[in-house]
Amino acid sequence: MKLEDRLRQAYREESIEVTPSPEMKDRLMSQIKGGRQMKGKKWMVVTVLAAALIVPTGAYAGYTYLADAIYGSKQQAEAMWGAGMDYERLEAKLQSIKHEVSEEEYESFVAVLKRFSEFAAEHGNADGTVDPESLSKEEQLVYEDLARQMEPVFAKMAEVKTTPSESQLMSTDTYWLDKINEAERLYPIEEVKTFKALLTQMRAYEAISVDKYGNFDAERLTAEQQADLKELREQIAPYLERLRIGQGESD
Amino acid sequence: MNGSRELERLAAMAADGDKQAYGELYERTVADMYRAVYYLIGNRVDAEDIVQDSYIQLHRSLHAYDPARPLRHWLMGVVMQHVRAYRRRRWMQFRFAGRSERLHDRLEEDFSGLVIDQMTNRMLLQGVGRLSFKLQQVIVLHYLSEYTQEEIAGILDIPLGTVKSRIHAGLSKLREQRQHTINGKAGELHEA
Repeated sequence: MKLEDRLRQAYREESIEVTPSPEMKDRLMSQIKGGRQMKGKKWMVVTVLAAALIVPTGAYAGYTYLADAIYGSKQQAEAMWGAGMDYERLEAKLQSIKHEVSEEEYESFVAVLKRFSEFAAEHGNADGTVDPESLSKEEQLVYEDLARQMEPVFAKMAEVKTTPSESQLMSTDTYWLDKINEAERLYPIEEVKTFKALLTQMRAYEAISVDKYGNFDAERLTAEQQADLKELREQIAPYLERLRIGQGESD
Repeated sequence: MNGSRELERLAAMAADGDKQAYGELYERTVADMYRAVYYLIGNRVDAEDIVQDSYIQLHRSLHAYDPARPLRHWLMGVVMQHVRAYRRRRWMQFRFAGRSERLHDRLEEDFSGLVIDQMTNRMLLQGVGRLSFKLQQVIVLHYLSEYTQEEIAGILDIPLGTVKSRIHAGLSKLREQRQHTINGKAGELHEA
């Protein structure tokens, strides 16, 4: 039998029992929401509204975090909203938007967000939520105008090419940002610092030695770098384990 | 790939907020997606995570889906992107190097007592697992998922010529593996 036919037969026979667990569907369905494009949009509007009460006048430039353009700083946001405030998530979202749109569009988007925030600060309730029905007709027009101005950016974010590109997935940066955020909840502050330092070094090696398919090529590293990497890997392993990274059992 | 128009209809309903339709779409496609991921990743837990993330991404992107394109191909494109992203995140633990070694060990063990020119299914698929990821990807999509070469080019967003050359290279390497193993076994028998 030809090798190609053997391959087809082998996959056909062997894959019959390879099926996902029934629980996977339950997990998936609990994570999605019905409705057209509403998930991201609703989340963003809620975030903007929540941000509205703590927007510092004129504090929009020169910060590390993009989200500082809305909150002022992470510390300030947490002082107002508590440590549970999802600042990192907002930052990840803004990073994603910035990556998806042109610089001009991004600047325009942030400007609209700021105006929306100021509007919510004035007209929202204690948690920053605006009820459009409670607004006067003039205020409703302003509200609708702001929402209309945000539409193109939301639409841009929602665009998907026929073949999805890497940029449409959660970026590697965003992934690790999420993990750092999780580490901050799980580890004492000193351990978080150590984890961040190890991760930074590992990612520097990643840039040198891993291709876009995730293939590691040790030959790209000097002997000294390989020894250093070995040590780093041993040091970071317990942190990755606690973050449940790479714990699947091989079959 | 029968019933693909039905998938497009379900996708349109799901895009309009019909969760039940999305559940149905999931049921009709998930086994194929999961198997492809499983044979590329090699463990069930991570395969489930990747597939689940892919379906969440698909749901978010449904409104932008072009119904002129078969949904199954589009979905597989999303899944393959997630597999690649997963591999990049896992490099820190040498998972793939380790897996390759384990597969190699098992391959050697499995040869004991077998007729030389008969490769078992498992041995053959383990051989695929020892190929580079780029080659594995096209072999799995072509021989497991049964996509045409043109469809694979669309799914992976690479030229058709690249798909053809990767399949050719993959098959050549599998033949080399097979020959190498046969020679090794024949040598052992001769020594005995």
